[in-house]
Amino acid sequence: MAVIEAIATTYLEADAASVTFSSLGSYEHLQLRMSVRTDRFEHDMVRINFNSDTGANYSRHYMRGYASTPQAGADTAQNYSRGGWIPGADMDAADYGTTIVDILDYKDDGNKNTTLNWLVGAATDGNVYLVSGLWDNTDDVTSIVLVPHNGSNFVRGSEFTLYGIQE
Amino acid sequence: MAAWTHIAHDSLSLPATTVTWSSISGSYDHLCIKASMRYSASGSAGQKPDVLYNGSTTDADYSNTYLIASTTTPTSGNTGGRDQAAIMPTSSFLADTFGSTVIWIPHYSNSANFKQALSQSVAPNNSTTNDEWALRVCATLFHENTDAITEISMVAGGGQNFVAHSTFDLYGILGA
Repeated sequence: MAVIEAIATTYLEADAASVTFSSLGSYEHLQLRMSVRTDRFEHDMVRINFNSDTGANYSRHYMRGYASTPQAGADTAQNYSRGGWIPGADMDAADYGTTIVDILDYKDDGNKNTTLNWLVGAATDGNVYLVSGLWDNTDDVTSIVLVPHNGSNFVRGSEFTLYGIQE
Repeated sequence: MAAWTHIAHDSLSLPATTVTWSSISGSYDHLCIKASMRYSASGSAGQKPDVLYNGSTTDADYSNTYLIASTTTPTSGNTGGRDQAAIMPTSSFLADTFGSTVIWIPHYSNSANFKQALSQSVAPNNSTTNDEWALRVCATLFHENTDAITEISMVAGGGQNFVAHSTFDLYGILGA
């Protein structure tokens, strides 16, 4: 068995309100790689929820490169983990943003909260992010749901691949 | 097609000060470290573990360019030191919360060039207070010599430990 395997890939042939990964297999780590765009009138973000938990159990901290002035910030008691900029309808129709999320030790026998390590870039919109996500829950991650933060849909041509990385 | 090999996995059942991988084969093109770490002692803005190459504890052997944040004002700069690549939560952070660190070391086995590592590291928390969380991106140049990297150590620092359940994985990647 390969050390890194594509567990599942979802390529949107039509707009979709969400993407779900519910068979996560048995690996040491997970990595999500996305090429994504939404139907919002302007830039948007990707939300992640684990195990269908939409309670106020998520925190995020971000560091953002934008124009000449970098920024940082924090949000707690969120109902989701969210990353940074992805293109919306005001961007060139061929412009999709890139997002990579590492989720280490997603099966850890109840010893750890789940940490997300997001790297997000939307070059034509001039944003790059490093984002930490915290899901304050020590359960094993068994499902992942992705939705647009503000838009109604991920648009056709968006692609989402979940990788498993072996111990 | 790139092929990954899992070189080593260390999962701490007890606290430990150091994790070392020795005699790393030169048969890969690149190395990748994925570490889920937490520090045993208290401290604000997270704890920076040492990441040592070929056993060098000489800060002057390491040059770092970093972009970091633990407040709403990120900072960047250049500095020497062996403890700039990563960040992890301390015991002052929310219980059961571990950091996430990914370090890439491309072309690690050549003997002609200094080695450069690129890391992205997060220390999350359920707090918006300054210095109760931390983010770090760092490019580290190891310039003691041009020897191949054959040993990597991660040291919690300050005479303290990585807590139990911290995990450390080393991967070798062959092919672009």
